[in-house]
Amino acid sequence: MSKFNASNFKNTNSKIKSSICLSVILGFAGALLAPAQAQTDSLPIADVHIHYSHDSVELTPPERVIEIMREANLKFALVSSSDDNGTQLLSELAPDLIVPGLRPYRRRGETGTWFKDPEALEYVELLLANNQYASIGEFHLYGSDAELPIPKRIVELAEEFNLILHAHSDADAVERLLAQSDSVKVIWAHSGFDAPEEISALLSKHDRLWADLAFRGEVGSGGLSDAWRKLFEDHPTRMMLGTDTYTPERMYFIPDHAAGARTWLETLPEELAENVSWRNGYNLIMPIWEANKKSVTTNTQQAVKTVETCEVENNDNAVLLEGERYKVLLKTDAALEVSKPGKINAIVCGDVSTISEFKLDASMPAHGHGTNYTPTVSITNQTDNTINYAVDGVVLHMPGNWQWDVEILDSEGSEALEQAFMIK
Amino acid sequence: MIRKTKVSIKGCTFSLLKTTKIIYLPLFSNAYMFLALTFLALLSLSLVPQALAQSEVEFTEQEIDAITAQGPWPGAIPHDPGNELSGLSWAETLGEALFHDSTLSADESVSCATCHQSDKAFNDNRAVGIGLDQGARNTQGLLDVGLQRWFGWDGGADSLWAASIRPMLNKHEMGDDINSVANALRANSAFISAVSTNAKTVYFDGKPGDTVNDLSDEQLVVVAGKSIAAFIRTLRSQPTDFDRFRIALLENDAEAQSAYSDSAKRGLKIFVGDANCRMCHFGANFSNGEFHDTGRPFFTGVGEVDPGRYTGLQRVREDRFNLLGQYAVDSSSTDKLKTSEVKLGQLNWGQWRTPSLRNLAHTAPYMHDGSLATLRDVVDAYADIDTDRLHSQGESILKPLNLTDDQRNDLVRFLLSLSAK
Repeated sequence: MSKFNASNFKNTNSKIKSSICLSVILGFAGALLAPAQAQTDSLPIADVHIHYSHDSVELTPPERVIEIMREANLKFALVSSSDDNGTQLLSELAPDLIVPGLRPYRRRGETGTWFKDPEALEYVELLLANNQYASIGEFHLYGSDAELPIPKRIVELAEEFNLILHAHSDADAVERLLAQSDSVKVIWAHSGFDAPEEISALLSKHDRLWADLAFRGEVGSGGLSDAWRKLFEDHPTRMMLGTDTYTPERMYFIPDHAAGARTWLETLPEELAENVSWRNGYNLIMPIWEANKKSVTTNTQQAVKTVETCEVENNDNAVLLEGERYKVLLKTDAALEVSKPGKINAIVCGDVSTISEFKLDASMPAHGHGTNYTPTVSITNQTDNTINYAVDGVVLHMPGNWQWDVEILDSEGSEALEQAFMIK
Repeated sequence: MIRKTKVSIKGCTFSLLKTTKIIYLPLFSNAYMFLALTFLALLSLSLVPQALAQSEVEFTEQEIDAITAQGPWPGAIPHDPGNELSGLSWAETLGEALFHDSTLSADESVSCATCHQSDKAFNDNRAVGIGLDQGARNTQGLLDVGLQRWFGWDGGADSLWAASIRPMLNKHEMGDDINSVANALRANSAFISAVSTNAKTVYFDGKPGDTVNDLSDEQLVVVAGKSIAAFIRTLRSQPTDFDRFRIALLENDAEAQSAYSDSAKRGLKIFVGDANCRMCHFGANFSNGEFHDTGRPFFTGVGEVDPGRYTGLQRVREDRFNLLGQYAVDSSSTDKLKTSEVKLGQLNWGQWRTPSLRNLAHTAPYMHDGSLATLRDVVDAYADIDTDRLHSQGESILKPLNLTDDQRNDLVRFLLSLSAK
């Protein structure tokens, strides 16, 4: 696919480079006659508006998506997907490139209903309990809907889990979201499709607000207008780029979007161009993502310690489920594969003396179904504090986000344990 | 409450209350007597073999204005910009011969007419065209194509003659190169003779009159493309049931109106009304000539997309045969403006040119990739449009239409009325 005016581009750059050299010669002590213009042909891009939703997963393999992103020279991508499966697939594949965001949609068609849907909130809370993210969003929310109970709870969760809100909203809803917290930060998706002057006004009013330019084709079209240039100059640390891959086909637009952005970024001073292209996104999102990732390590270490006190071994293919009365370690000798029958060793820890039955199954919460087979369960070992079960015939027939569903029946009734996991 | 009340008989229409409020009258009032007498008078007129021609479908003034804008038909076809051979009979004759000339393809097996078949409204009724190999897009019929501003599903050509050159050089279509096409033309005695005889009307290097033997490969291909375009420009469709109804409506010709089925009329009301189809399928050719993202998928294979207008614009900018190039003769500044000033942006990703709705009965399957087999499929696709595929800032008129089964059939009936029998 051809790129935007590539030949003209190189010529312009060579002129820019010449200009910079001359300036350095004339003013060695930093007294450049004019600000250096950006050299943008290889400028990295932080793309903060990527979706890899269920239909996109079906049509483009995650490996190809990563390839496209690297072809576009993305420094990183903030990815949020409906459902979350796509984000996790990319995150597993390229943790250096992907920053996961949590979209509160199980399917793409929930943009107008999620904020009144308790199940959407449950979905968010379940994912937050099991995965790590940098943001909640992109979600669609307008006006006073921002003060409905579910959006309010989303703001609370953002505070609790150190997450940025990524809001496809009008200015009214953005202000209502910001007013609900003293600390939460907001990325204003598409800059609200507002005019540069209005974006500038809102950014001036709220220092916890940033804005992305996703699906804003008018920015830089036919040259960067004075109004947009002024916005970037007035708010040099607050504007960011995004493609918005809202349909599967748009995933292939990422390189062209990046190339197109570079053509107008080159008309900005170098530092400002870098700010908009990647530094603003990096400075906002990366510290949060790094902090949230570290909390994972801590949790994992605690989990391992808990297991050890239960005298149950852990390994790479193990996952711990913790209930009120029991802990269950699920282990496999090798990673489970899609549609291939697998064998799982389940170790139940606790007062196991009254356990009468152990059940293990798996389900896909976003798809509303479980497996197509009933696994067989047999006891292979038992001590005072543990029972080892062999669970055979587990077939996970689709890639994506699954959930282990364990039920332990005993003299007090039963205890149910859940744990999200992903299979590729 | 407003309604339009008409009583029609053959040859004349009485608008009793052209656009008025409904008035509830006391029983046996003078007004009732007047209406009754009028009815009896009309009934007596119907006894002479003029049938009382009433339709259950009436149109408001606003709807009539909208319907009026979908004609007249056939209008004049504009000059093909940059093509000095456009409208010249010798070039049209030569172009027709070249249109059927398979020596212009790489292996001499296919011609323009392979896909653009005259007995199928210059279409091939395949999902996607097959020239030397299978392409990715549906073959568009050529009837009335001269009315378009941009050519091809992606508008990758800004003139009919540039659009006529492209298939010769496209690897999926005729797969030839400039040199081979030129050699085939040099070996074509009819071509050489026609161009030699009419050399004064062909502009070479900006001046007429050079001999055909002096022409470069590229110049020969341009002359061939312009001749083919001159021929294609003459391909017209005939007036349709809709066109006759439109005239009847304008002329208040009730009998002629009655020849148009009520189902088609109901479909027409939907078309110009709630469904807003006319927003894009506007004018006599039922196309605004521009490009829209209607949410249709555009994957062409695993890991491959055909992003339509986005690549079309890139192609037209790079096309040495565009209206800004040396081969565009006497194209006006207005003609050139569309090419020099058109903007390329991310909104173009996945846009396709609004096709004309004329001749639909002969051009199935439909859409840029031929993915919809029938007109009912097309109506269903729009009526039940997948809003997930539309951006919130996209085409705001695209929304589910909540049409009943009967309404969908009416819309199909109307669309079929846009094809000449």
